[in-house]
Amino acid sequence: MTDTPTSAPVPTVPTPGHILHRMSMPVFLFSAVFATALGVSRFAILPSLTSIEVGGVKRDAAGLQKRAEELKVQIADVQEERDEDILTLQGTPYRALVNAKISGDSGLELLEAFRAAARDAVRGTPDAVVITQAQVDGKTLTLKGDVSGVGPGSMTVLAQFTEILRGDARVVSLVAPTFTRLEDPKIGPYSPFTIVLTLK
Amino acid sequence: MTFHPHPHWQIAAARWVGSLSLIALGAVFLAQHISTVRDVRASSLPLAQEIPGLERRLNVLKQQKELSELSHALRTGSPEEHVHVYVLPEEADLDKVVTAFDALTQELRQRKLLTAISPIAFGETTSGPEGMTEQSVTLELALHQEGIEALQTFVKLSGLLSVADALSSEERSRLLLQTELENPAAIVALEQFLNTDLLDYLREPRPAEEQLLKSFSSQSFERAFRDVVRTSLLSDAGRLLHPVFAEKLSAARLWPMQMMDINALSLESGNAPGWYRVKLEVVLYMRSV
Repeated sequence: MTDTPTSAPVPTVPTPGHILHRMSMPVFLFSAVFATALGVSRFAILPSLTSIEVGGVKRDAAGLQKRAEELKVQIADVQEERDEDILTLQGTPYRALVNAKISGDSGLELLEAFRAAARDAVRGTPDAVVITQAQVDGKTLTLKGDVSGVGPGSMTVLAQFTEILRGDARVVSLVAPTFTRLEDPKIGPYSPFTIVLTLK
Repeated sequence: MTFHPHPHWQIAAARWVGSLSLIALGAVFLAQHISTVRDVRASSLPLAQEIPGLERRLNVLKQQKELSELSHALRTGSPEEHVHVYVLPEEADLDKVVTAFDALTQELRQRKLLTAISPIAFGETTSGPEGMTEQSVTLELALHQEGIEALQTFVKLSGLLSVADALSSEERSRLLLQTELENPAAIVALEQFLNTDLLDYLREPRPAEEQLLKSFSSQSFERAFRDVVRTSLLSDAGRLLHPVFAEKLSAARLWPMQMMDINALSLESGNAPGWYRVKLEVVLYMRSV
């Protein structure tokens, strides 16, 4: 008897392709278990663990948000209805006129507020910016006055005061004054101004 | 160990694609876990604490609404009639307007807050807001700063009928909220207070205030109430309409006044500190026919 070559597989060196092939099934099984476990947890376990019972009803985050919004809407509606019963003539031109009158700042309050701003414009010189005239016409306030007693820096002080007014919460827009410096034999250099403010 | 020289590459590739897809799906689920837990911490717990408070407030408001409906049904007198006859008439009663300003200027002269007043000029009637008509009234005065405050208060008070009218919506809301917190049933007492005739209240504030404060046992409502009264128009009105002046307006049938508002105000510094030359344009409102 002579030895004949067998048809058994020829031993070969494993290539990366072989390794990937052998790993494919275990990795697939692991992935399937991983995704299934997380899916079950996401849809079956997590909602029950993260729901909160409020007023005898269990709700998740979205349900709680929706319930809170519903309650806020209901509160606003009931509050409005209650206020209508308490406050007569709601929704009439009379009420609109009264509300407009009561809520608005009076001309004197505005003038006092801007006078205070003028006094604080130059530290240590409260009379540097003087408002001599104020005119409130609807939403427009016109301030007239002058900056004096600060030497040749009167225009700079006027610019600072203009910026203070521009930054005031009640002011929507402002027409800046013309910046000029005049000489007066008594008070020295001064800058007269007319500033037009549009109010909220 | 032996390796098949020709493995099933297509099956292996399909397994790898499937594995990667499943891992991606798992990652999505994991991200959802994280966001759910984060939502619970960030919103669910605060909402769970907020909702019982909102439910309680809704119940309180419903109770108050029922009580105020009942009280509203039992209320007598019609403010609409006062508005139609006195506050927003079809035509301005110029005589009454002039008499009212005359009474005010006399009062200011007595208090040494006014030195001069120009003739009062009436403008043409024009169309105004909300389907109303309006007429301007202009006058010039030499006033002390306190006199300007009194003048502004006088114009603000024109047309107001009840205590509620002299409070801003924020001030009314503050009192209502305090009622909800302390004694929801006291809404009836608050409603009665708010609907008290303004001039009656200014002449003698104590009975109306005591009637309201009787409904609250704690001091916090009283503190809030006093604060509202002190900072509102009621305080300025109380200083201007002292009992004698209020009685004078009432006796001359000048109250309720026709609705007016300041349209333009010009202040020019006067010769003495605190004094101003004031140009005032007031608008009278009328109901259009």
